[in-house]
Amino acid sequence: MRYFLPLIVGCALLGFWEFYVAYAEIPKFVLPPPSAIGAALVDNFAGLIDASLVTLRITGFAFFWAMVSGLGLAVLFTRARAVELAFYPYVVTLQVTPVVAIAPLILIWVGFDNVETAMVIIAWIVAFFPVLSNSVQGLRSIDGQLHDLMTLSRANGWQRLLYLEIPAALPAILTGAKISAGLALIGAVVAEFVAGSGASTGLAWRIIEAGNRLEIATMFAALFLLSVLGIGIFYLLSFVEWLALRRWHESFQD
Amino acid sequence: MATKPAPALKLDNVTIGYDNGYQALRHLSHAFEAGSFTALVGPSGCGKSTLLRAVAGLLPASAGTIENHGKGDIGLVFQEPTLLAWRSVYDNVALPLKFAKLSSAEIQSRVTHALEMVGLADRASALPRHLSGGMKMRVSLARALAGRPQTLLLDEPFAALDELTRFRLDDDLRHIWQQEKPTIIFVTHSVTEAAYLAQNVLVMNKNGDIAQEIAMPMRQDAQNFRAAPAYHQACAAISEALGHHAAAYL
Ligand SMILES: Nc1ncnc2c1ncn2[C@@H]1O[C@H](COP(=O)(O)OP(=O)(O)OP(=O)(O)O)[C@@H](O)[C@H]1O
Ligand SMILES: [Mg+2]
Repeated sequence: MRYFLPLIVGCALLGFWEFYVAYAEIPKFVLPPPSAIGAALVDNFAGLIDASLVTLRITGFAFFWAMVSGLGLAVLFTRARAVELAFYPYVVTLQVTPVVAIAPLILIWVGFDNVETAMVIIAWIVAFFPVLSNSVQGLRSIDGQLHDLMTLSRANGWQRLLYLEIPAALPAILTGAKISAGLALIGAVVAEFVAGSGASTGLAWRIIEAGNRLEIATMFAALFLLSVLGIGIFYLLSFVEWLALRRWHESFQD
Repeated sequence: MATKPAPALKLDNVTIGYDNGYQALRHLSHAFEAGSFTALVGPSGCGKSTLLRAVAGLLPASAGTIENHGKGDIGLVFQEPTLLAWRSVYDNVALPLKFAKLSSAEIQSRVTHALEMVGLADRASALPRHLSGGMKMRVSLARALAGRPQTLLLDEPFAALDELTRFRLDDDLRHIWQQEKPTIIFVTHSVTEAAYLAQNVLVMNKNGDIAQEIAMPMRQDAQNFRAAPAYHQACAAISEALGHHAAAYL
């Protein structure tokens, strides 16, 4: 039932869409029928997959760096209050500045020879805050007595991090990771839009290009793959979460 | 005349204030002899846990000095079970030993022994969330025992246990004490438990100071101590120091 019901709804919607477009004689450069989108997907399959891989690569790197920097900064913030006081305003500034507004600057600074690096940086800016704030929250809510236990057991800084802080904060860190991965994809798309055609070869660029050529069916096909990427990333991280927490965490009580 | 054993632990005019300005201990002085067994009783909120945490070095004294001459580690059993939820019972007990870089054979024998002592050898691979409250407390106790500390601080370790298990663990604890002679400070709300276990009972008052020190009688007959008149008199004395009616124990 869990898979069956959504499937019925999906088929019904597609059927209605197909029928309505034919019935109302909507031109296919305004709204193509699902069959045309499917055909466009098949026709451009190799190219679209290549483009998906480019977007996925940018998303992946941005997400990786978001995790590393967000988690690293969170540990620094919770270990040394001074670091937090010193850096927090700038982190917030980075977060609240619309990334579209600074993206052109980043492109200029990093240079058009390194467009992909620039795009990764743009996507990273979008993705990194949820990891930081969730990790800080997770690290802060660790029971003080567990910290006392580590002190009494003479754990050094790394042992405290590895045996207490990371595992205890893992549920919060993974929540941040899930949000951040979705944002990294959005950031990658924004970056591709800003970088413009010629510079980027990802899915978003395919969407712009197809739009310019009025190949609306191809546009929809690319859009469809973008959604697939987003859903795939979300379920992959949910799976990682399940793997890491199911044994001991309350949210996976059996 | 026999010379008095050197104090293992000396608190001199100790005052402990919390961040919010509240002073939990005020000008408290006491010397704990090496290898002694002291029970600490007093009304809720009088500062017993604070005292243990200060002795363990987890809270700095805002005035006065705390000297610990005991060599080796301090074992502390917190008032609440303090376990890592993602590690098994065995791994929780083993962790401090691992930090102390003991050999894995040594770790295994100590952990197994400690778990046997608290009656949880068969639950070694269980996760904390599958244990009852009292079982979690016993894991905390096993972890402290496995470290074989010179100073053993226990904060109401048996409060959540049924009376029979508690009697058994009381006896086990006394046994460990007699064998390894750590300096023990044992916090309890139970007058009878304090009288049964300790050589010395410290009664704290609401102001975070020691109101009275009561020496417990020497045990002539360890087997039937709970039936001995000396034990009942000790209970009565502690009870009176706490401000209750002593008659209930006589
Ligand atoms: N972190 C803290 N910050 C401020 N005040 C605290 C803190 N911890 C304890 N106190 C205060 O210090 C006093 C002593 O607390 P403590 O936990 O030592 O009491 P206790 O004797 O162990 O009580 P109980 O028998 O209920 O465990 C209490 O009045 C409490 O309100
Ligand atoms: Mg207490």
